[in-house]
Amino acid sequence: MIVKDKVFKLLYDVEKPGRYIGNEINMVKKDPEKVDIRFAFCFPDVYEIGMSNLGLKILYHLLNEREDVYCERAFMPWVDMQKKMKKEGIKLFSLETFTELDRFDIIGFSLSYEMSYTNVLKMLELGGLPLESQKREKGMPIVIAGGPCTYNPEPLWEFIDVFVIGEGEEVILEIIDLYKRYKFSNMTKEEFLHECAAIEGCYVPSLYNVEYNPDGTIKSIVPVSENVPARVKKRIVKDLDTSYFPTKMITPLIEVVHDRITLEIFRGCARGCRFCQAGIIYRPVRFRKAEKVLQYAKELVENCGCNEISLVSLSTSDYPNIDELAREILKFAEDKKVNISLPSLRLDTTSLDLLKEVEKVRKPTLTFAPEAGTQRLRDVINKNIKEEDIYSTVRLAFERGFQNIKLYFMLGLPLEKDEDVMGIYTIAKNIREIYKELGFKKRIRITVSTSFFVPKPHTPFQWEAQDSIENMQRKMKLLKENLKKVKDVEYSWHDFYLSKLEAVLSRGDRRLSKVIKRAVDLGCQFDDWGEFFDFSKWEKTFQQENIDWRFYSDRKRSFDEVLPWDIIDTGVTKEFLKRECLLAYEGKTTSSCFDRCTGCGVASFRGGICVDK
Amino acid sequence: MLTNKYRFYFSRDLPAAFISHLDMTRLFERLFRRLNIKLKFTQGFNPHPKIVFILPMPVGLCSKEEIFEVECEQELDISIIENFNKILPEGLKILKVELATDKIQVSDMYYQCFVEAEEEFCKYFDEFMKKNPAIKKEKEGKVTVKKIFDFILSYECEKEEKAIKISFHINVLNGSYIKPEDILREFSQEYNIECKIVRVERVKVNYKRVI
Repeated sequence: MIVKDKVFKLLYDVEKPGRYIGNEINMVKKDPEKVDIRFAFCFPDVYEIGMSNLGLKILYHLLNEREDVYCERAFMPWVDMQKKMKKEGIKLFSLETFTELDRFDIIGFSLSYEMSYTNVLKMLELGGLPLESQKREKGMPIVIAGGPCTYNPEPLWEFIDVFVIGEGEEVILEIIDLYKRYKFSNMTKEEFLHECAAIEGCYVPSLYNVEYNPDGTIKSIVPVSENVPARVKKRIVKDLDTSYFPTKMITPLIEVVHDRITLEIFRGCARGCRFCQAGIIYRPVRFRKAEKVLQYAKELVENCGCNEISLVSLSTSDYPNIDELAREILKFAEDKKVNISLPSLRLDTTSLDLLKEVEKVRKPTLTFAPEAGTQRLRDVINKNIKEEDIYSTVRLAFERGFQNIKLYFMLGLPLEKDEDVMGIYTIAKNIREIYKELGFKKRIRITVSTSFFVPKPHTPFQWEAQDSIENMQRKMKLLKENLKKVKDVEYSWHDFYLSKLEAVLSRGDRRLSKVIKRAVDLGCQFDDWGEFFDFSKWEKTFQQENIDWRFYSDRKRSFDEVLPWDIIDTGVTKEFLKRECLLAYEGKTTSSCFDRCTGCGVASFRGGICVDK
Repeated sequence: MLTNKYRFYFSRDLPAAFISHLDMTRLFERLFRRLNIKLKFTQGFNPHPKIVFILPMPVGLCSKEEIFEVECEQELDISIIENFNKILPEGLKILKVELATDKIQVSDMYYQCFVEAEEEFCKYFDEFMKKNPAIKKEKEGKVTVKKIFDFILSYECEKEEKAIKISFHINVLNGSYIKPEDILREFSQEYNIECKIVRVERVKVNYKRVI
């Protein structure tokens, strides 16, 4: 019996069977017999999470533009489906043609968050493939991976053949061309990997040797031969207006996490928050022209039919004349009963009015991310939000009828003192106070959420120690006890252990690949899902591998330590990161790229605002 | 006042049968938007289109003919069927469209269930049905108990080549009925017989006109 029929029989008693049927609006249909290369785009989480990923949609349609390639999709099946598949002997399959993973030429993983690493391995396992790159011979799929996590690829080094560093639109077609030569000739896998390493933006981990010092730090990372680059520089799209963007975008039949059209208006962020990895790795800022955005918006509504269109970027307010653009889109969207959403908008008077106008239908919620409780600490992290601005916006918002305020903060930032933790309480208290002063009587909702600082590679804080679990717990309790005193405030905090593991995996080295594999053997999967995450299992695996996880999370590094991700070149120099880190210690801020060039080094790409200025 | 309320007849088969009721509504809203047809929306905080399925379809159910009614801001042309069928996902097909001038209700319906189970299945199933058992269902804390033969007009169990086919003729009383899947679940629990559903289909739905 063909796989499709077998799968369908299972769907009568699994949760959310719509995850496994494919068949969506704008799904690409091709005859697999008539293509040279079959590509499986794998997202290591469930369908509903994966299908809201814009990267997936861009690459899926870009690859399928080529006649000689058929790109299909596979997601991580939920545990109930996994059990049934195992029982019936069905391997992980693609949603387009229900082809099992081991029959593809290339398998590409999207690595969006570290907590999905176990799912990557689990998907390979479910697909009937050997986990280790070395054990996959010619004839078996080549496994590649891209996405933000590849900026420290080392923890997965044993499993992935090739990491794509940077924006995949640029690199993937070159890999395909090379693969085609490999497939239809007697080129060996080793030769293929060597040639891959020569493509800019490709990191082939097996072609590097890592040596360690007696204290466990890295001594050196050296390529196996002269032809392999000493550092791998990320690839970027220089001009968004000429780059590929799909407007006949695949649109799910079942409700997914962000159930709307996502239209990217610019890439990169000019703000330079010192904890933020996205702010570094997506540099430089590159805008998409308003005419293009408008044209895409129209086509997307026409082709997808969604009732909401979201203009996405890392910092929406930084788009020139965002008001004008949003109102232009609104002109035709309103008529079609389509809403516009503007996430990551900095809130001030003008944007409040804009929000009111474009987000007519949704229950208005204001979101602020001051990240730290005091101005001193906000200066340390270079977060350019003034407390007075929050209060004046909140006052205006209350007057306009907003009743939900969300506040995001981070606990455990470098140089944090208890005053800073208490500062969060003060902000919440003052906001409640303002509401009272305005004479309102009804209940409101002020939500305070804290996550724990996770030091990330390639940021000015990459050398910093993460707070110990005890410290996290103490700070959380301090805040919780105080927030209890404020009316209408709800407090939620991120899991300590989850943040801990994220910190370990983020800054991990090659020795963690064995740990991750062991964790999968012990049953770890869906670590990002509260109901499955079990830190005790992870602790056990670290013990068995004789590794102290605190070495990765709780340890402060010196500036001259060789870091596992030093092999990856984001264009931003280490000198810049160091300088930023020292400025943080002094509590001195750095201006945004819009004001003046901060000399981070990324101008070497000759793209975006670095050139325009 | 003239309302442009239309009755769409459609069929649903695999794979679309696994789309939930809520997702079906959203799907059709999107398709109407793609076809540039303006629908009437509800007023208020969260406007949604006025699309009503006469009988909500459980996940997994196939059907030869179902109905949804939709209110439009405009008049529809018959060519709409063709345009719809061009963009509908596999498994869904619009059969006919008519102006809804009256109100209809479901009176009774015919189901066919195909299950994979042991040889003796029908014998035990008949035995089970003879007892006129009750189906207990809990939804959001509310328990409802339904006697099977208050709703079943007739049934038949027969062994076919690949699977066992059980046909039901089900009566709808005040909009309420018994789902064949629930009967089968109850049976397999009580008799501890594993029966794997491979297809559930509504083969015919009868309607009555009401004022």
